[in-house]
Amino acid sequence: MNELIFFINKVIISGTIIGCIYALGAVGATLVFGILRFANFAHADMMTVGAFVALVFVSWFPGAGSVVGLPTGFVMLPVAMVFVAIMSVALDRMFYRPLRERNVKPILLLVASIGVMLMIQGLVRLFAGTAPRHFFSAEKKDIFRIELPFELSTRDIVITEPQILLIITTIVCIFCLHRFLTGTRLGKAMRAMSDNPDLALITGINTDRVVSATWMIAGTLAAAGGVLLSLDVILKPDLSFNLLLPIFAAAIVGGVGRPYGAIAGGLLVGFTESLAIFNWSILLRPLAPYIPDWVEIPSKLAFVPTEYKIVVPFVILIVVLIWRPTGIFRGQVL
Amino acid sequence: MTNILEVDNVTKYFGAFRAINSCSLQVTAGTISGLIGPNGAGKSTMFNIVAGVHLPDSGTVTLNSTDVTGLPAHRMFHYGLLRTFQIPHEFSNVRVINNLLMVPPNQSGENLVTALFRPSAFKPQEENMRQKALEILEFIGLSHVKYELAGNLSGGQKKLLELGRTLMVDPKIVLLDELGAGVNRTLLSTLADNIKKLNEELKMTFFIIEHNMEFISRLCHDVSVMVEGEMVTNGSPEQVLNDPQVVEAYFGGGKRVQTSQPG
Repeated sequence: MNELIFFINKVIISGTIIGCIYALGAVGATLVFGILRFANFAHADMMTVGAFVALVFVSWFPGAGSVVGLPTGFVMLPVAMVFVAIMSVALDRMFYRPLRERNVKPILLLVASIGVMLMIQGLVRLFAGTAPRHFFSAEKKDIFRIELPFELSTRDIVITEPQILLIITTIVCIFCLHRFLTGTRLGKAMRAMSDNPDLALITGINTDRVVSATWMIAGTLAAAGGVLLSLDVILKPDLSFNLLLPIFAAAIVGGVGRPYGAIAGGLLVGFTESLAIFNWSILLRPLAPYIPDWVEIPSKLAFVPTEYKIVVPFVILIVVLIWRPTGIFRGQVL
Repeated sequence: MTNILEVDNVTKYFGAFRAINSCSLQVTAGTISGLIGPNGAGKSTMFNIVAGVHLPDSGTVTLNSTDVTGLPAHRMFHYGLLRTFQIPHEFSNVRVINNLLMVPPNQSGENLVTALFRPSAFKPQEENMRQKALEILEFIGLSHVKYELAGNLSGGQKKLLELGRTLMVDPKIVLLDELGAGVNRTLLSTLADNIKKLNEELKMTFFIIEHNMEFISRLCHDVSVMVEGEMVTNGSPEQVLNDPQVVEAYFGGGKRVQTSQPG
């Protein structure tokens, strides 16, 4: 029984957590790709910036969390979201729009985004240093232990407050995004523009506004992902480096330009990662009496050692793209 | 009769190439006007300038006595100017009926707050729009494919969809860019009937680029002819089609290269 609980803690919960983070990032990346047709390499850095903005505000208002009974970092989430939303529109105005106005090929925008990525990384290190930071240096992290009413279970299912907040926030964000995309004029305009920009223009859609809205949504979700991830574990300046590849894997696996695909892709990549690094010998141990003596269960039996976690998204990418070349949700913008 | 659209002395360069050389034309409200000319005459460039896609280098475009020169295309839509494309455009991942429903602005369900919290508030309006879209599909003869993805339609059906889209709002003027290209004769004649009907019953104004002279002479009240970026002549279809200049532009003469005759 304890083994099963261990499995839930290590795979179900941590897979959901990292899957939500990837989903939040991938939705933004896929939306930007759908509208502007380029892969924004600076996307993961918008997540880092979001987390740092929240951290700065936490250091300015350390008591804000205790007023509402939530972690201070989470209370600062809306501030970070607004900041990154404005920042991403500003980045678009400064770097991407001048290029678009000259009708350049999308590959140039991609190269520009690599430049923006390096720039943001440099700025973050310049202002915040290279040391990892904690959101919970002053506060206590609430940890919930759920005891299971089984006789054999001596361990508990463990979930922390930031993790619960992360899952709830992701669900709320995705619900709002769904209503926005399917219901509102701007959401419809976004889908229209991703399908056919020329036609969108002559049916009265202000494409400049659509582009700004896309950046704002992408920035908002990226900030949410960055802050929530840093609340859960730790905030490092190179956070973006480990996020960029899984996020793009998730976006491509789900079907490029498909927000729902990106969510599915994010969860898929997240779960597969946690399954791949899970130590399966723990689940095999109870079976030891039934296994012949000459088979020895190794103490560590994972598909992939933890250090090589980064290869998992690529394996999923290859497998899914062989099986379904346009992604799970049949992305159409490429 | 007032002029709904006036183009005054418009010139447009693409780099050093002069696509349009100080052309002027007028479209009277409630009429069907045609614009003809050989390939590369600048007809589509003229349309693009009127529709706000290109900015003219000089000259003005006036719509309903408002100067709209250089306004972006999405603003022109709100001034009541709609257009179709020579190569049909459609939202290919969207069903045919929803392609039409994309067009009308100011639908109340499009407000984020209403969409989130009061889904019932916009149901009647949405039902009206749907009814209108179904009528239009019936009118343009596409009702049998209404739930098909628009990307799967044939070239001619996409043309029909282009026409249908302009009917979703009450346009002041509709620019049709080679509606007939790639459409079979029977279908084209149906289209012509429909345009005539819309013009006579709803007093809709059309401005048409077309190569099919039969189509032009049957529909248009007034025809302008462009050749190599210049406005050559203007008048009723009979006058224009018998004009020697027009005949020459279409069927020969012009700037033909002199070839040496074998002796």
